[in-house]
Parts: sequence; C-alpha cells; structure tokens
Amino acid sequence: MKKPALFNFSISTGLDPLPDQQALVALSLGFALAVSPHIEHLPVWLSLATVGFFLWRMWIMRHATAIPGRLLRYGLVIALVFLVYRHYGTVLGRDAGVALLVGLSAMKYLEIRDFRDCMLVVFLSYMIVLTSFLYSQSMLLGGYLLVVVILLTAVMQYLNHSDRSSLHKVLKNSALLVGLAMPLGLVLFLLFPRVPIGLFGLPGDSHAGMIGMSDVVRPGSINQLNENDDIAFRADIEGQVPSMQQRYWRGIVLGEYRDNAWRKHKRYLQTLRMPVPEHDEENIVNYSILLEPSNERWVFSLDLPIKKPSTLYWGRGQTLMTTTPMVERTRYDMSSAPGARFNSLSEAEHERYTAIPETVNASLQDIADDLYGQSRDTRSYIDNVLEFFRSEGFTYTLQPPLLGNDTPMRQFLLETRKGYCEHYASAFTLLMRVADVPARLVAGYQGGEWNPQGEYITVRQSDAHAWTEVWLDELGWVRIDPTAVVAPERIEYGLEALRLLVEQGTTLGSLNNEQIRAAIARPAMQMLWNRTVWFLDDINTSWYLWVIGYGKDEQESLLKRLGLGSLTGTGLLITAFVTIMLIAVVQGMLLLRRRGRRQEPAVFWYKRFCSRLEEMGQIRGQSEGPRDFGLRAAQALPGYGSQITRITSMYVNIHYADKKEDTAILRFKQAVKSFTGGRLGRRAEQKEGKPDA
Amino acid sequence: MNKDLPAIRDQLNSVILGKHHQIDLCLCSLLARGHLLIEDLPGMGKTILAHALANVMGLAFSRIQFTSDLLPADILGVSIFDAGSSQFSFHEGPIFSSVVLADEINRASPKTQSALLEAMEERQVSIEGRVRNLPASFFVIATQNPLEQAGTFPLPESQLDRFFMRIRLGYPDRASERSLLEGEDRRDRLEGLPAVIDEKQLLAWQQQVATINASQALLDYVQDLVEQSRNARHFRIGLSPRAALDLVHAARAWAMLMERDFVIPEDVQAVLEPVAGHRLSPVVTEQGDINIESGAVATLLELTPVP
Repeated sequence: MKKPALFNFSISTGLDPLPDQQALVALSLGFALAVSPHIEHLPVWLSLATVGFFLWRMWIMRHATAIPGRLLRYGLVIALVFLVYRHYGTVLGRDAGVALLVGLSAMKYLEIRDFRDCMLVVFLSYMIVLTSFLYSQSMLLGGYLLVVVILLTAVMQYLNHSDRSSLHKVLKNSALLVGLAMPLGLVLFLLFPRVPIGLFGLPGDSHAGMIGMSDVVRPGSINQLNENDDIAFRADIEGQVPSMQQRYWRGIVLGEYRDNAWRKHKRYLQTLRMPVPEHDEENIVNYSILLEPSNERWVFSLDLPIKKPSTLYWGRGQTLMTTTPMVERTRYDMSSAPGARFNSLSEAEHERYTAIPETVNASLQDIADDLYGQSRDTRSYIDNVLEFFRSEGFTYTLQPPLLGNDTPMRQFLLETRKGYCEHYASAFTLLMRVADVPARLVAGYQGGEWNPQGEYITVRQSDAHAWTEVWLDELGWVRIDPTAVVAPERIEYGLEALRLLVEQGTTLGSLNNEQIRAAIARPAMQMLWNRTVWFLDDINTSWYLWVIGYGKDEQESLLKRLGLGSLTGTGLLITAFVTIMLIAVVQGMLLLRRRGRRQEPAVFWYKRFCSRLEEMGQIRGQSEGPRDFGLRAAQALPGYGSQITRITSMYVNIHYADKKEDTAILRFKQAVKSFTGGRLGRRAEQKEGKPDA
Repeated sequence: MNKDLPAIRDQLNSVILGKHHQIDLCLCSLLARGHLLIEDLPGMGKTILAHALANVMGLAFSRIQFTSDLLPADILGVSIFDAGSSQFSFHEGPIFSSVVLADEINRASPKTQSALLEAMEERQVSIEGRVRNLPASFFVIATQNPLEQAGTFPLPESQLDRFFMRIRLGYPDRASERSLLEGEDRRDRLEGLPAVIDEKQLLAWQQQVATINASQALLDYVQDLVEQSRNARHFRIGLSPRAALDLVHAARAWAMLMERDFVIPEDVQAVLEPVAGHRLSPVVTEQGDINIESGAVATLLELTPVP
C-alpha cells in the first residue's frame, strides 16, 4: 500500500529483487556523467577499467552467472591500490585520492546485490561530483556539474520508482528538488564561516603542476613560458589605459648573480610600509589586479607601485608580495605612478647592486672595457652597450641556443648572439656591474591583451619578461629594456605579434610600423573568434570576482551591510541554520498551498479522515475507491463503523453526487473533525484504535 | 428508482445460476445501448442468457450461427423478385430483430463480420441504396470461442473496439452447477419466463442512463485511467476516446443498476474490466493466455490513484 506522496515518488520498500539491466544502465549513466570531468586527469587504464567493470557486470547479468567471489574482489582492490600507487607514487593527496575513489566506486558494480548497493553508487557519484571542484571552480564546470547533480538525482528517483515509465516526470521532480535546494545552498554560501585559505584547504599537490614566474632567472627560464598561454593575471584599469610600451608588470627584483643565475637577495621581504617614492600626482594609475593562483608569493604591479592593499608586503626594489603562497584567485586594488623614482641609494645597497662573482667579472672584463673605453660617463656607456646589441648582429629568438656552463654570458655576447629577453637583460645587467654601475634585473610581465569586452588587460604566462634597472645618480633607478633595442616588436606589439612575425619568416627589426601592423592584422573571422573569447573571459572573470572571490573579507563587508557585522564563527553558523529552517518552512508552506489550491475542501478533509484511519491501521490504497475503503475500514474497526460509513457517504455525496452545498461541506468537516478529535496523532487513541496491531 | 429492475435481475438469475455479476454487466450493456461480446467456451449458457434477456425485456430475439460460408446477405436480408406484383420485395434478414445473438462470430469471413459490425455501429442497414433502420432497442450479443483457432478469423483489435463490453461467463461454482443438474431443463424455464417490461420501458430506461450524474472528480478519474493506459509501458496500445466515452457510459448504467443517480469510482472500477479488457493490449502477449489481459486491467487500476 502506497501513500500518496508530495512528489509522486515512492520510497523503495527493500523488497525489490536484484536490480534489472535498465536500472544498471541508468546508474552507469549517472556514474559516467559524474566521472566525466575527471577523464582528462585520470590515467587511461583507470578509465578503461571503469568501463570494463561495467561491461563485466552487464555480462554477469546477461548470463545470470554469480558475481565474482570475495577473494577475486579483494585481489582487484589490492591491484587497484597498487596500480594507483605506481602511477602517482602515493595513495594520498588529491590526484591519487580521486583515482582511488573512481576506481573503487566502479568496482562496486561487481558486487551490486540489491537497490541499497545501487544507492551507494549514486552517493559515491555525488561524492565524485564534489571532487571535481578540487580541480577547477570555473562557471562552466559549475553549470555542468549542476546538470549532473540533477541527472544523478533523477537516477536515484528512477531506481526507487516503481513506475519507470515517465522519464520526463522523474527529471522534472529532480530539477524541482535541486531547485528547492538552491536557496539553502545560497544561504550557506553567503553565511558559512569562511577560512582565508583555499576553497577546500587544498593540499600542496593541487598546485604542483603550475608553472609561473620563478624567482631564479637563468638563460631559458623565462623562455620556457613563451608557449604557455595560461593567464597570469588580469588588470582592470581606471581611466587611461597605458600603452603597450608602458605595460611593464613588475614582479621580482633580482639583485644577486650566483651560479650563472639571477636570484633575489636574502631577506627579500622588507616591510609593510615603504617611503612613497617621488612621483607626479597627476600621473597616477588606479587599477585592480585579479591574480591567478600561482603557488608563489609575487604580486605583479604596473611599474612603479606607490600604494598597495593592506594585506600585501613590500619586497625589495618596490615590489609586492603576499606572506603565503597564493592558492586561490585573489583581487588586489592598487595604484602606480609610471614616472616615480627613488632618490637615494645607500652605501650598502650600492655595494649589493654592483656585486659580481669574480669569474664572471673576469670573463666579461674585456668586453666591458671595450665598450666603456669610448664612453665619457655612465649614460653614454649604457648607450654604447645598447648600440652594441643593436649593431653587432644580435637577434631575438624564441628558441635560443643552449649555452655552456662555464661562462654563458660571454658565450652569448661573443658567439651565439641569439637570445630571449632574459639573455639580454642578464647580459646587460652584468655589463653594467662590471663597470661598477649599480644595476638589477626585474622579472615580470610585459604587454598583455586588451579585452575591450570587459575593459581589462589579460596578461598571460607567455608575456613573461625580464628587464634591467640601472641606478643613475641624478635620476634614481631607471628602467632599461635591452630587448626593446633588439626586438622593438616584442615591446610594441606584444609576444603574440612577434610569434606571428616569426612564423611568417620576417627578419625582426626589418619592417616599419605599418608593415608590421599589416603583417599581424587578424582576419575578420579571427576577430570574431577573439571577441567571443574576450566575452567568455569577461563572464568568467565576473564569476571569479563575485562567486569564487567571495572570501572572508567580502563576507565581512556583506554582513556589515546587513547589520550583522558582529557575527563570527558559531554565531554565523546559527544564523545560517535558522535562515535555512525559515526558507524550508516557507518552501513547505508554498508547496502545501499549491497543493491545497488544487484541492477542494471536501478532499482536504477526506484526506485528514484517511490519515486518521491510517494511524488506526487502515491504509487506503491509491486505487481504492472511497466507498470500498469505507466498507473495509468499517469492517476492520467495528467500534467506529457507523461513523466511518457516515463520513464516507457524506464525502461520496459531496464529491461524486455534486451535492456541494456549503452546509453539506460544513457538516462533513465537523464530522471529520469530531472523528479525528480535532488533531492528528493522539497516541492514546492510536493504541485503542489499532485492533490488528 | 424502479422496482422492475430488481425483478428482471431476479428472473435472469433464476435461469442462469450463480452469474450475478455477469448478468448485471449484461444488463448494464443493454441499458447503455452497447453491444456485448461474450468470449467463452461452448456450453456455458451464452445462448440461454441472450434468449432470457430478450424474453424478460419483451423483445424479439433472433440467432445467427456464424459459419465460414455465411454471406452478408444471410444476415442483412435480400430483395427477391415477386412474380405476382412484378416487383422486388425486400426480405429482412435475421438482423432485423431487437436482440441478435451472433454465435461464434469469429467463424465467418471478415466480409460478413464487417457487415454485422457496421450494422452494429450505425444501427441501420443500407441495402440496394435504401437505408433501413434497425429496431430502436437493437442489441447484439456476439460470442467468440477463444480456444479453437483453426479455420477462424479472430476479430482484430480495431473491430473489438466496437464492442461496448466483453465478458466471460466462466464455469459455474459447485453449488450452482448442482442445482443446474437437479433442476428442470433450462430451455423449458426459458419458455415460461414472463416479460417483465416492454420495449418502450427499456427505451425510457436507456434514456435515463444519460441523466445519471458523473461529477468532475469522476471524469478526472476516467481521464486519469485513460491517460495512464496511454503513458504506462505496460500497454502496447492505450484506450481510445471511444473507450473513454464507453467507460463513462457504462459506469452511468452501472450506477443506475445499483440504484444510484450519480457515479462513484467504484462503478468505473466495476465496469473497467469488461469495457477496457479487450481494448487494452498488454506488452507481453502470450497466445491464448487470457489471464494476462485481466492482469493488464488490474495493473491499470493499481497504477491510477482515485481522486
């Protein structure tokens, strides 16, 4: 006997026999959907094994053979754990954990005996859906997983449904259920106490694969990024957008040259406060940076930052950094002044920025002497060096030749003369230091693509760049980019354009501006494509700003605006809980009202009557007519016989004989009320009125 | 409402023993002006039932034994040249009767079958360009033997749909059979059966059926049933609108038989099997397995909640 349920689905009675093939196919469909986002990072053998387990189970079902024995199943589990260990080198952590979860869930197929096991696979599928967020929190994935959750819920209903005819109804129900859960999720999202670490407090391996700006620059280290189109950060600039030549995004200042590589000084992190450098008040750019997680601490800012958000620290050489590696996308608001400069260089600093290892010094001495010999002062020495790069056959290349380990810079300057930005910046800085001119290498990004759709600049890993800063007594630190001399196209049009020119076989530096523009002009189709990409990127950025970026600070400011600023921790949890309860009550009332609106008063009271009888052990079958039920109930409950018969006949008269006069309904209502005792569930009566219990 | 109705039931029950429900269904079909198909083995009392019905109602009765060489003219009638008046005169066939028993309808050729079915549907016969009306109380009881299939033309589903009801008589229970064995010859009793009412009274009753109240809630239930039969995967073919109409009509007639002036869901449930059983094909059909069809109606009933 089934109760008429609110959502027209019934709960499994546990009497169901072995699930049939249809149920298994539905289950696998749900499972496959849940696993689908993982396919790209799961090992191929595991995906194949998952399919294999499913086929195996289907074969077992078709041939009605027994499911594999316990020994075989244990063997399979051990084999899976071993294989996962061999593949990842561990069974812990995100990747191996997900692989184990997927593999073991798939193995569950082999021992599905009843519907309870099916439900277990569904729940595991929900769990797998959750793990997808460990890899990406993009809006696209979020939307996809929402659909998957609806389908999984539908599968769960389908499994429990005695009548599997109407797929449409099942889908509608599950969409309704997920829809009802949405406001509850929203409340939790807004009010659940935030912790200022990643979304799930991810273990370290979640960002292990990231490549980004490294704090050690040696020939080839920036070069390895030039194929990487991952986004490093986005910059949303207020007012005038700086031109390509001005877009130097300062990251790390590397002042120490050791073992043929530029490194940052020890005790790089300096202070929360720095003297504001001298700058032109009218030339300030305000902007915000949306930084992708990099697992590093460098925050990139337009040359030269003068104001920073309170959460960041100043690093050496007017750079910005966080205290802990960034594992989530973060937004920073800051200000820069393009012409700002410092006017003092202490003795110690002078020494630090002219230090050079003896061997390097020796290897470059003759070249520097040659170039310095013709100069009168530091400035003309700089000009000479730049002229040397320009006229002595130096070329800019995306695939620089490898350099030896002994004196790579000498080899580059005299022999190969082919290099990427770090070669030129490195050689230039060293030549400065040989001549006792304070100089340092700055690693960061240069350029970036303007997204007219969202009006921000997108900077990719491939825009990574290195340049030099030289101390001139009268000007302070001056940015000099030797790459601009060798390959002005790189600076003026960006790496993307440069790559295009190289593909076309152009000799860099041979074309004038118009020719370059013609050469890199994009066809209309590509522009359309670009526009689409920009548009999607804009939506995605908003998603990260408003949804993923909703962290502790945002929560606090929201609460303050709601007048709940004083709430923390437990208080928040209680508020969330109470709000959820309220929403659930409102939803329940709306649903009841919707049901009630379709219901005539007589039907409503008849249902009360039936509920009361149900408590007394007489359950009306959904297909049982009221008269038949009345007769049956009256027979089973002789003490109430006349009352039951009277109420039933009143109901039949109202409902089917259309005798719907108000008085009749009122009398019927009173009869039902007096029968149910005005309320339902009186325990004493329940016991009395249950003769067959 | 009417004391003649119980009297009729009593009379019929005295001839056909232990078949109260089937007799009620039979009367129900007659009241609703629908034709009846009795599917059963020979010797179950089909002919006696039909004959008794005609007698009690005071109606003319004729019987047509269907055979493979039966022609449409054998049922409808023929025009014969009368030498005396030098004119064709029409000789009415056995169908021009109030109660027609079409015995073993599946033995005749499809052509002959369809002649009968058309007459049933139209309640008139057109022969040689002239339309001849059948009696107002025209009522066909066709019988079909479900087991013997050799040399027969079983009625296809589309033809079955034209029958208002299909019932089975089934074997009598032990007590009824004993009194059958002890008692006098049924055919003799048949002769002595008095006419309780006349055709006029029957026609009045038939009109009264339409006045029985079917409430919105009840029509909801009928529609739910029909919809369920079209949605559920248990049935190959759902119920037609004609079936739905017949269902309401049968339920009304049933309510009238039960001496009520409104229909309740139980009425619909009582007539669902005879009205829908032959129009509903379950998905798995085993040849000759009649139980599975009654199972289909039971399933339909089970699946559809009563509003």
